[in-house]
Amino acid sequence: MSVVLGISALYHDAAAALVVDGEIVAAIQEERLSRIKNDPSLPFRAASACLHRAGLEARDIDTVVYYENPYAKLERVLLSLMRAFPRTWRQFPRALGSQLGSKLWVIDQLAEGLGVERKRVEFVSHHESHAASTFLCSPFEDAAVLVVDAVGEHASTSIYRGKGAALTGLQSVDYPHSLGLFYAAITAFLGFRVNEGEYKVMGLAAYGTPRYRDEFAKLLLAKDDGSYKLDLTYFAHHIGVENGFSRKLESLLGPRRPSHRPWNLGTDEDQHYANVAATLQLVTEEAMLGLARQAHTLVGSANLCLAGGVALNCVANARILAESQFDRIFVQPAAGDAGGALGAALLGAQRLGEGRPKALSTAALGVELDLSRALNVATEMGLRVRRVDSPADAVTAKLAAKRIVGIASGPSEWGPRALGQRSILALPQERDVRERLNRVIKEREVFRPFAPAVSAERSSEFFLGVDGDMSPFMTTVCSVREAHMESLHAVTHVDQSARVQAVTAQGAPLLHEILAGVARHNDMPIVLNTSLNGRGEPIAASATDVLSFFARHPIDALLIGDLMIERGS
Amino acid sequence: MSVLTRIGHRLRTVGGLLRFFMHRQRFFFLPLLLVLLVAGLLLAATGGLSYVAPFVYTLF
Amino acid sequence: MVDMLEAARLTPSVERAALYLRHAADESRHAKLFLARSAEIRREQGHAPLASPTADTEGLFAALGEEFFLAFVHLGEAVALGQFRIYIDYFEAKGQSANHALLAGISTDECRHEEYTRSLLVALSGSEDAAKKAISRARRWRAWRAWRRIGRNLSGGLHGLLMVSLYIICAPLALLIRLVTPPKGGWRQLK
Repeated sequence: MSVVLGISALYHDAAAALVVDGEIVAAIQEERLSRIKNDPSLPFRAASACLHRAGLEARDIDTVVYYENPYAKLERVLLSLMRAFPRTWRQFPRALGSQLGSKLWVIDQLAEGLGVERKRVEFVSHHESHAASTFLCSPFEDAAVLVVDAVGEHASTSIYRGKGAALTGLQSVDYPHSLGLFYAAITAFLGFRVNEGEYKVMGLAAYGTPRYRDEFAKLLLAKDDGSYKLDLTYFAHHIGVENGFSRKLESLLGPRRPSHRPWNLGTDEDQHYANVAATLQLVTEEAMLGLARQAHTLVGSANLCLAGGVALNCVANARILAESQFDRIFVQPAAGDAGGALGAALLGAQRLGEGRPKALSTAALGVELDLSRALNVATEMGLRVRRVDSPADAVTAKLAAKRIVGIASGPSEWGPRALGQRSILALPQERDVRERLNRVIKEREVFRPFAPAVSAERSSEFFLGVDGDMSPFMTTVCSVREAHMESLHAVTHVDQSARVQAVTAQGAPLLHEILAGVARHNDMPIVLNTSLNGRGEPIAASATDVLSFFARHPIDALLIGDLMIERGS
Repeated sequence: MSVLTRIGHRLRTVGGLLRFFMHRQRFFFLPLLLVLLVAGLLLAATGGLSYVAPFVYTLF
Repeated sequence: MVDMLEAARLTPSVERAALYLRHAADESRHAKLFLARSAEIRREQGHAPLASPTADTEGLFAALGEEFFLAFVHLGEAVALGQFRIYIDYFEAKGQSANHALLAGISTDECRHEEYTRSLLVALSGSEDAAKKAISRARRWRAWRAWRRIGRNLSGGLHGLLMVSLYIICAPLALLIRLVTPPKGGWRQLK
């Protein structure tokens, strides 16, 4: 039996993933357990939760694989600090203090913290772990693999060839030229928090028109061979400043948007920012198309695997599927840095002689629910709890009665989206539901759309562009069919698109059953699906998190396992 | 784990770092390594950057 | 709040878990009230509201064990209550009724927190004396933390100063690096 633990940490989204005998057994992000959003600290909680799920202990681990090369990282940080001399004088003490004081010693800290011999702790390169996380879990025998993120050690964009179980690196674009940092800089310009706000910018883009093409052409110069170059005078990430953009950018695009000012798209000012977002999105999509074209030229496969933070841009993914020469695209749900843990574990398993795992069919790889504890704590809190024989029927009944219901079933999801394991559900046809959810429960910006979950078998009746590889994991967008736009108003974005989750029985069994029940009620197996968490929190994972959410937010009912909890005592 | 084991680990990492830079075979990395060494010593001498949170709990 | 959630998750007792969850819900509500009041004040002054802070945590429950954790929280609540009383009197004297009402409302909750943590501590430690000892220990620990904080700030300053000097000495190295490895864009072959 071979046991490999993969770890990603220290920058954003720490996570641990466990691969036993070449198969994925558990994968958990640290934020779900520490309850700190995007928690970057060493994922000891996640690691022990993974081991616990497999019934193993630290001494059973054969190898621990860390997702990047700490020496190469340090090299790049130093080079970058020196290149931009003397403007980096402020960052120099901080950056070196952080690297030498803590990050360089990650291998030692992992060995000590996990209780594993140091010689059993290895590392792989950042982009390689991303590439492995997507290709090795994909259903493809061969594929081109494109990794696009902010930066790994040196590379910010790379193309790999995947064939069988082998991954070969072909080309890369290096820091400081980075599509991920380009997107992040404009995200910060628009007043959002970097690494969290990119997703919101993608939703905002649909409200604007891309009228700043000329200005953006100055920021990012795309070449015919798919590669690109940034005009660094507009950016500041290479100087080490948090914001990532310079004053020159503000003189080009206008002043930055102050963060946390409420959005009002009726004003000219906010409309201008929406136009900036729209241009950013368009330019990014075109850059991704260029990269995909180059990947196809180099590798020649009909399949593409995507990874890295920019692969979470599902609007771009949909365009690549529609317009590039690739027939199929696969994006692993935790495409960001957390996914590196999974890739690292799979690469480690390969080194021990294991083959590829079965293709990923569900994202339910995380924390399981302790139902007896849930029952006891809920009772102790004075909540109205009862056991139900058919959880799916109980939820469907509530949904049909126009209620907002939270569901917690099975292991928690891997990746940033809720896929039916820790979700809040409601019928999309109800107009005031979207308002209530956005304003009162999730407290999000007004332009944020909600996403539909539809049963995979009937998805093409209601949506165009649903595919079999990305839609189960919500990593692409589809468009809503004309005939149903009225009734699906709550989950249709302003540009008639929807971030569909095509639910299969294997991917999310309870949700699939609920959708069947909803179809019996109104012939539309579609529900509005949003994640079970409040503003600024990670998605709920354990039973305690789920109950805590119910205690603090006014949803109507909560299903946890086979327990139905309702308001009132 | 004993202090000696921890020191052993740290030394292995330093060894890995040296091997990495030698593998790169570029002469200008030597001054870079020197910078690292001095920075590391300064860090150790000034007590590192251990984090002690101001306890905001008192307000909530 | 995050520490209370961790406590609720890790404590072996279901009754205590329920109490910690209620405490966390209270803190979360207080945070919202403070944020709302802050936004109101900012609006009156003609500014946009401030960014909402993220909760801070140190994993105290796991690090301290339940008994010492309770002593620490109890002490924190007691100190907060003392500070609030000063503010409440101040706002009352100045006639700022909104701020006064906000803090008065919150301090009733804090009072309850102070009491329940004390009774839990007495129950868990076994006696009044043991509880008093734990609270004194918590007081000493807080003083030690303040001392560490001062030390850290001082050494941080010294570190910064020394590093900047090192940085200035590195000027020729920076020049060398810029000559030898300029950041050109485009593809780099990997094989």
